[in-house]
Amino acid sequence: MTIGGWILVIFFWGMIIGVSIFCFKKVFAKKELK
Amino acid sequence: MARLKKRDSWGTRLGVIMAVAGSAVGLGNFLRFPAKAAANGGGAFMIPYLVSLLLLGLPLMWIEWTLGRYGGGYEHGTAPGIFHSVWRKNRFIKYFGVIGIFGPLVIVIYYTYIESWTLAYSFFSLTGKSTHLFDQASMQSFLRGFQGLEKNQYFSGIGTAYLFFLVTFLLNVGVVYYGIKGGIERLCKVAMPLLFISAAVLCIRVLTLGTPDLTKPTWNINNGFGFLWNPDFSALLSAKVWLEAAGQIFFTLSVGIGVILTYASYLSKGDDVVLSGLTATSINELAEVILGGSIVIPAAFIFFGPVDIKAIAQSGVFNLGFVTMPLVLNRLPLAELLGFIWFFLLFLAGITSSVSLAQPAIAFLEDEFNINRKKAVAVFAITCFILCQFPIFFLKNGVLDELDFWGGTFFLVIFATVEVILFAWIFGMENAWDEIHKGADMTIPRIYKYIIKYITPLFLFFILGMWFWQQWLAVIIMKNVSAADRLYVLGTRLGLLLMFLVLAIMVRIAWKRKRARG
Repeated sequence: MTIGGWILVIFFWGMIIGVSIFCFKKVFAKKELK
Repeated sequence: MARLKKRDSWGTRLGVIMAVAGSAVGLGNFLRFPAKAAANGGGAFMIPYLVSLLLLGLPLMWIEWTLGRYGGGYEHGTAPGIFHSVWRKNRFIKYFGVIGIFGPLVIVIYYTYIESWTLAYSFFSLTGKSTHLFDQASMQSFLRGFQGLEKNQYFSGIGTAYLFFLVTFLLNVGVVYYGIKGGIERLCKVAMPLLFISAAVLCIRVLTLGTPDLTKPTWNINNGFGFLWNPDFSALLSAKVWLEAAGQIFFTLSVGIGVILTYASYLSKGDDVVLSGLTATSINELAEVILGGSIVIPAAFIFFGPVDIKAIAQSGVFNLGFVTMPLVLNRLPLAELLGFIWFFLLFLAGITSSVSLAQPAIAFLEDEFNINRKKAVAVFAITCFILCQFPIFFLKNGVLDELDFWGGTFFLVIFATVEVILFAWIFGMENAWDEIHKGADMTIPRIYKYIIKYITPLFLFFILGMWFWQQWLAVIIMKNVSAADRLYVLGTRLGLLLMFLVLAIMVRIAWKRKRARG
């Protein structure tokens, strides 16, 4: 894999995992359905 | 007049997020995405994909969650009623909403059949019926025999496929019969974690393949990932690549179908939609980009090499899922188990999507005709069962592809365009912004106010414009349909028109009844 490929993998994987962790942390910390 | 029954509701917040994510995560995440990415510039494809996600996917996700919750407040769970709640002065808007019942119904007609193939192949893998096949020709013959397209040493007719279709259909009906909380939510809370565990197992297996054939040192996992991710930035100059990326975002997030509207209608007024919508999107992207992108294409590269992989990536999703992937797994130790995990993973992805596709039609009968769930499910099941026979028995005549084009492609874009115009321009962006943020656990960046109002509709008009410019004539005159299949394709189109008219008439009857009741 080229350096360009690695940069894209790290960027997209990192972004998706980061957003998912952010979302789940908030979902579990906040209120339940009304 | 007082309503005779109380609407169903979600039990937990995680349940509704899992259900929406389950609807979004389907066969396309594991088959369509890697094939599209590999064929459209590799890593460079991810740039228009990200742009489409931010400008199209996420805004539509939030719009549908918000419109659904808003309509649910008026006891409407489907687009005709939801659209009417937003634009009461317009007599015709409810008929645009018919697309939100028509689309999912058309998709579920053929999707259930494809889903049943994954269940059947899970069984074939476990019992070893398909694990002794090691070349493309045999595996393709196996698939064609199973589909009833030819009689061969593996299958003497369509009987086995039909049996698995019946089992799959009954499982779907069973889930929707138990309702939102008791059926769909319960299924998704079990199926989604199981799906992720199965995908993670396969992903780890592929990542640890290394270089299986030492005589071919370049056929390794590093180059397999490279085939999918190495960017060819010249692809960004092609309009086709941008349209493919936008199309993939539509398919993968299940936006523009009407399913999210219905699911969100079972929320209460003060329930968050911003964080829930974002979380469902992130789960879908985890399944698609990280897991879906790490299984089929890298594995196929390792076993078929850099030359054949190009043809494999363009051979269509059925070939990837039902021919290439089993061939790869058959060459590994524990082929039966790995094959089972692969197809059962696809089955879980399929059933969590198909139950969501069934729900709008059922909700329409329940909400607008005030009939109870059992009767609504019975009416849906009988109608759907009859309609399912067409893609099963006329598969070779292009009926399934035709249903997929209209129900699963064309009307998605039309419906999304109506939704965004209604939301941003009729409801008004200020009202819309307040409505999105009711009970919200996070604030959407203000730039999205302008994206939703201007960029998303323009993007949708661009996609529609490009389609009309490039394809409409060829589609209308059936240029790419063989002469032998034209009658079947024409029949499918007339059938779809009839379905749409019947649904429109049902909307008219429901509103007439409501007016009569005052």
